[in-house]
Amino acid sequence: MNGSRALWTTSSILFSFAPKPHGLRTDIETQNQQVFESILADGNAAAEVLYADNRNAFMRWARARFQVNPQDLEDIWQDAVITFVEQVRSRKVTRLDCSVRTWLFAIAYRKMLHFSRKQRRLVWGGPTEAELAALDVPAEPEFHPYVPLLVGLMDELSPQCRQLLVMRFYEEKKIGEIRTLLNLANENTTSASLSRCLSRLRKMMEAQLNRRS
Amino acid sequence: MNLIEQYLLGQLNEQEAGAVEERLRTDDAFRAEYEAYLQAVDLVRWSGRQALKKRLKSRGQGMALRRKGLLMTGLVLGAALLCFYLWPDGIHIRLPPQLPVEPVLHDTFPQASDTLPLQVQEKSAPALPGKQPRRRDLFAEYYRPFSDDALDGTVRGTDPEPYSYEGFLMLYASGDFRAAALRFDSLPAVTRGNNTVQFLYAQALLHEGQATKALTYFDALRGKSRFRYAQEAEWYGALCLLKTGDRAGAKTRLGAIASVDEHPYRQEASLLMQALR
Repeated sequence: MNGSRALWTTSSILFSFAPKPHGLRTDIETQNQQVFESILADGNAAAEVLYADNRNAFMRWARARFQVNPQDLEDIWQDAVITFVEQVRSRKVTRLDCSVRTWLFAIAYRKMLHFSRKQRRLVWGGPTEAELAALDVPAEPEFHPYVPLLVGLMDELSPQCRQLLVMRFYEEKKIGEIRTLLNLANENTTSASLSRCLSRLRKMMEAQLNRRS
Repeated sequence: MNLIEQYLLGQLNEQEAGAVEERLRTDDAFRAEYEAYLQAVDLVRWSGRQALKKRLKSRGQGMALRRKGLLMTGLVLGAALLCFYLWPDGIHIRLPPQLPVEPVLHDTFPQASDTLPLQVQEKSAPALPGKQPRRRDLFAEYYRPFSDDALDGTVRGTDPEPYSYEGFLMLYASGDFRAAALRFDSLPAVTRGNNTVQFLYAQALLHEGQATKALTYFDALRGKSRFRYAQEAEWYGALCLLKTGDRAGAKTRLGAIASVDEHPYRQEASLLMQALR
């Protein structure tokens, strides 16, 4: 009994939105700032760190609340981390009033609610869930249904084209950054290459869709 | 570069961007063209997302494997401790039979002349197990993880995309062979088809103890005369055979390597053949 009370108290501190002691809040803000900076510097590497650092805690937390198989939980956790990285990269999220872990759990929580709407939940309600549900998490990006069907087209592009396009449109790097990272001659060359690659992909997509229709 | 591309790449100033947005509201053909571009951008985003997901998945698999490994080690240790404490008479260790104590012979003459000189029956000592190195030992003695400075992605001055050819090379060069072996399956088909990538994948497999699987790659690659690491593939193939216990097969291959004057592993092959005899 004492053990479960202690666990409850710990989780309440972790997830509570009640005003925290000044020192604790400053710590969280500093940590969040570091996470944001690392995502903006190299989102994919930061995603890997966030994923690994919080995965086990998430699995424990989620298994106690939802009856979802481990593979699906893994999938949900990966998507939550990716979504958060994308939100920071696109500046949809520029600061948090809670820890990054709480935010990640909130994204995952929504996914799980959506996922296991028809499944049995082990624990209903409770302050933690209520607080997570109250967080204003931006909506996830939606892709056109045929996009996953056309992903093979990306493999038909040259590796450099793929890298350029992903850096610009997924990692949202600026032209200057891409030029430096890929050691290209100048920004005009970078833009021209990007434009050529995008145009090629668009034509390939058009041809593919015409064939399908 | 057309106007839409410039707009999407963020290369228009505020006024020009405003004009494009106005045209998007009024010109249907222009908007259709713009939407086609947006779909291409969507495809790029989706592809980027999938690549990152694969990377996280590979990390998760690594974590799960490590966790499983730790769990197994814990279980084995726990079982061993349990045996130690619960075994009724303790653990009996079978020691080798002791050799009989030989009589000490003094340098001095026998003191009594009427006694016969002491005849010492030399008992033959029990045969000790042969000192030939065992197969695993030989493998460990001769196996060195393959490295080539020319392959190190880090010298190229950029931080490559992890699921690219360079990214894989860099991962291998970092010495994380387990991660390299795991990442191979997530690489694009074109990269997986690259001979150098296959060679390094086989190296990673061999390092992780999957010699049989590694051998299939080395065998495929050693026959490719234009492949720059064909001879290395031949040597590592022989090591795979040694690792799997096929000494005869290993000897045949080592003989072939030792007979080629210019072979980079000629000396090692000769020495290993001698050790195998």
